[in-house]
Amino acid sequence: MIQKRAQWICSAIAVAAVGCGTAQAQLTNCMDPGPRDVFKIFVDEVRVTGGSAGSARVQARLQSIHTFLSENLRASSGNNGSVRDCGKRYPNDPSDFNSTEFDGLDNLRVVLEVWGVLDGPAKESGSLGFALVPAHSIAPPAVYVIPSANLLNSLRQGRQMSAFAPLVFGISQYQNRSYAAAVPLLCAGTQQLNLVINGQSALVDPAFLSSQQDLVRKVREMTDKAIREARKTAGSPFGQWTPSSDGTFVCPR
Amino acid sequence: MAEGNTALPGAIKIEGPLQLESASVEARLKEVEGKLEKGNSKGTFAWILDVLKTLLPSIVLAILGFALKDSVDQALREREIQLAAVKEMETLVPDLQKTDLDRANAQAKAAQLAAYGRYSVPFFVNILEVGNQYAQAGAEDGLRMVARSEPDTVCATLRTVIQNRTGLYQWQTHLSALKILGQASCTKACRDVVRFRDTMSSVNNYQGWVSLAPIQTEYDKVSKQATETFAQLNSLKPGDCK
Repeated sequence: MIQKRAQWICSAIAVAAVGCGTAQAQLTNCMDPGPRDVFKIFVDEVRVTGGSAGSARVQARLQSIHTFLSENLRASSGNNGSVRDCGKRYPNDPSDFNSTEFDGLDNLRVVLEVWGVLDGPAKESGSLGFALVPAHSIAPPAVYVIPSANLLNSLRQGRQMSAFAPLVFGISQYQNRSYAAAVPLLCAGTQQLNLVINGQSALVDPAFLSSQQDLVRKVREMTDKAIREARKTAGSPFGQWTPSSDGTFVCPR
Repeated sequence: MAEGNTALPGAIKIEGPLQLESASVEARLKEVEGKLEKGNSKGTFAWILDVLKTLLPSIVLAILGFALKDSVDQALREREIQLAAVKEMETLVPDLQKTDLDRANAQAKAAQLAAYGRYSVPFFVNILEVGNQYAQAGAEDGLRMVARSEPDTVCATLRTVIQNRTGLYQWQTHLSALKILGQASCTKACRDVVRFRDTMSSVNNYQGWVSLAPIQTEYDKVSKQATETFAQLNSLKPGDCK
């Protein structure tokens, strides 16, 4: 009797819950999340909008973009973290990265999640999305979608598109009070981010640009504090640095 | 003549009046009869007592046997239900661990598991430990669901999680346990929360308690949650926190 009742309840819940679950597709688990004790960058799928990615040519282009993206992120990360291929994981919308999602990623020591989208099967243009996990608490929502007139070329030419990698590692080190380790990463990240902002100013809307500039401002404040804290350690290389005219420490050019 | 002087042997001389007091004899008789009557009524009680003495162990044994049989039967039935539930849950747990699982589906699977009530609690705690991102989120939801109907079981289990200092759990499991203890109003766990908060003291100290050494931000997160949980429980029943 009890068992029958439990089964009935289970079935009812299952039907209701699966119904809710299929109503809206969401982010899935990362296929290869890697070990728990290292910092990680999740690289999601690169997709194409407005058409099917069925043809072999389009598939090859998407795969090239994914490969270049992963390689750039690996080069930018150095030994600070591991770049993981997340398979079919892909956000439907940047708003999928809400506080709960950021919290879950943070618990897994994921510092950055990247995904890409090509504007059409026959188009070169597209955009890359970045969810900056440690920046969510300082400059929310910390999700940036950066458009590019030629996505593949942008990735081939340089590391600017992966500017966020050193930045998030720097923020993470700062939050963990490893100030000396944070300074070079914050400086490298800020420098690359400035290049990205200047390069895309014509492509994005002012509100989005303002949000990125807000992040840069916060990171500058963080860099100044990190240098001050690092200087307190005897023999610190930052002891030689001198503050600028307004009394703040900035990264050397 | 000497023979004539010999005195008769055995002759007793009684002086005074021979008086029979009939009233005192009657009184004595009454007394004896009364005692006899009392003795008779005591004998009835004694007889009943004797019967009771003989029957009592049998009665007690019968009552005990009945009670024991009932509780043993109940325990066996409980165990059968538990085994059946575990068998059925075994098919659901792998679904919760799939890599292509999204948050909504994880919640759906957790709801199915939570329908098994207290039997699902150990499964959820294990998923908190070894599960992937959304499985862990689902396990937290599942524990919250069970806590709504069977709070005592969930509270007791999560209390043992935060009491552990031997590296049996990861810091993420401590974090989830603290969060749910507060949300489920587990006021009996308040002292454990206070002890946890007061003794974790530093990241270096806390690293010894858990299986995956946390970094500063992770330690801060657990410490903040312990403080928040304490505030929640203390506002409900301050007496349990002292």
